[in-house]
Amino acid sequence: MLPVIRIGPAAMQSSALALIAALWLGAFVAEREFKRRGLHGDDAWNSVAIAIAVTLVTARLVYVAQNLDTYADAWIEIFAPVPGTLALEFGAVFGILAILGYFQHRRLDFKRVADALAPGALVACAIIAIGQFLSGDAFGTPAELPWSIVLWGAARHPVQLYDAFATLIGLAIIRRARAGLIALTALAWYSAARLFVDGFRADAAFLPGGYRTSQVIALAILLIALALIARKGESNVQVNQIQTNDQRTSG
Amino acid sequence: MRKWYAIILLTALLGGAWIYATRIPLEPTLAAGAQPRANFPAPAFALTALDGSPMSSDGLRGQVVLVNFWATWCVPCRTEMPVLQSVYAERRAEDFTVIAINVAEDPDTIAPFVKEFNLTFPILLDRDTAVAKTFNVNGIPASFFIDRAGIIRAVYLGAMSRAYVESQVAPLLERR
Repeated sequence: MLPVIRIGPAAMQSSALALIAALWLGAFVAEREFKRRGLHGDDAWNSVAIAIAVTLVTARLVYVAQNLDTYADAWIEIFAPVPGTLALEFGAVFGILAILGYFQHRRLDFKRVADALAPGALVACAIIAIGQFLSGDAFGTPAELPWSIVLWGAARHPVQLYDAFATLIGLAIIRRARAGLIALTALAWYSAARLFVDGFRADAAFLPGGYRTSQVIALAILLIALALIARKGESNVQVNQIQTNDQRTSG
Repeated sequence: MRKWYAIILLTALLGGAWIYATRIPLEPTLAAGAQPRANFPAPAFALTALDGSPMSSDGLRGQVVLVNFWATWCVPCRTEMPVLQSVYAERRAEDFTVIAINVAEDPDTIAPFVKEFNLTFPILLDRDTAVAKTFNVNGIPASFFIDRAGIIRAVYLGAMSRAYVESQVAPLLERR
């Protein structure tokens, strides 16, 4: 575990460094994919920058709204650079909506853009998982296995590495996916991976009965992604049949 | 399309079964013993205060405690000290306390600092950094919010704002 990386007198949290690396490398991969698909590379960087800005601002505003009494006496603290005072789960929703708004504004084909963003998103997820491994976050349940890691007083599943490994396999899988289905395949694979891997996670949000919230959400997203893939696949088959019939008729 | 219906149904069944099979008791971390991490019991400590009196974590049970590791040379520590003092003064009557553990400095260095900021909460001396090591403190300031049962509920590295401290302390004080 390496929660803090020291460079000279400065001490930096490895999870924060991993997040920065994930965003940068994710955007870099997305830029390359955008260019490869005939889109503007700048749109990749712009969408990531807009997502970060909107996520941070709205996450802070939601946090302020949740703690209005506290901020009423010290409104200047709304601008305090304290990462703990962010409602990130809400901010992320607004960040995604902002990206969709940007694509709409730029009149970009959503399916094409989503396909181009998918590899970068998976790369970012893998780096974040490695950052969690370094910081000791998102740790696993106790297990006596040859590959267990000793963390927080017990030998545990290295779930962060399972997560990173599964995400990297996802990168290989989406290379074989058809255009138009790449983003959905990535979403389905990542959801399936989280559904499985989080079964070994101890540091999680729980629903009554000890069910992990992340697994329930992952299963719901997986089913939606599969339904969309099925619909898309079916419509492709129908288009192919119509084209074949047209060719026969004209022949 | 039938093939896809079958795949989706099978995924739902297997996924639901996996979620059910891998459910675990709430707060599974408590069994692992004391660790300097959220949702684990806080490590025990016994130190001498700046005024020479002994103080241990055992005597704090039943209170909401903010354990803060700091030093006089640390700029972010100077930034957040007025915040800690203000919340302590306001919440002291509600069974809230701040335990400020100074890392590796001598009393002669600490005393002027305490006077400058009018600090009234207990200042403990961790001269050999043994307690800082037990709490895995790799940088200061580092803060641990501990509930009435002695369980760490939040860990924060860096200077905290008043809003952050309040948002962590208030829910812990409401829990009985």
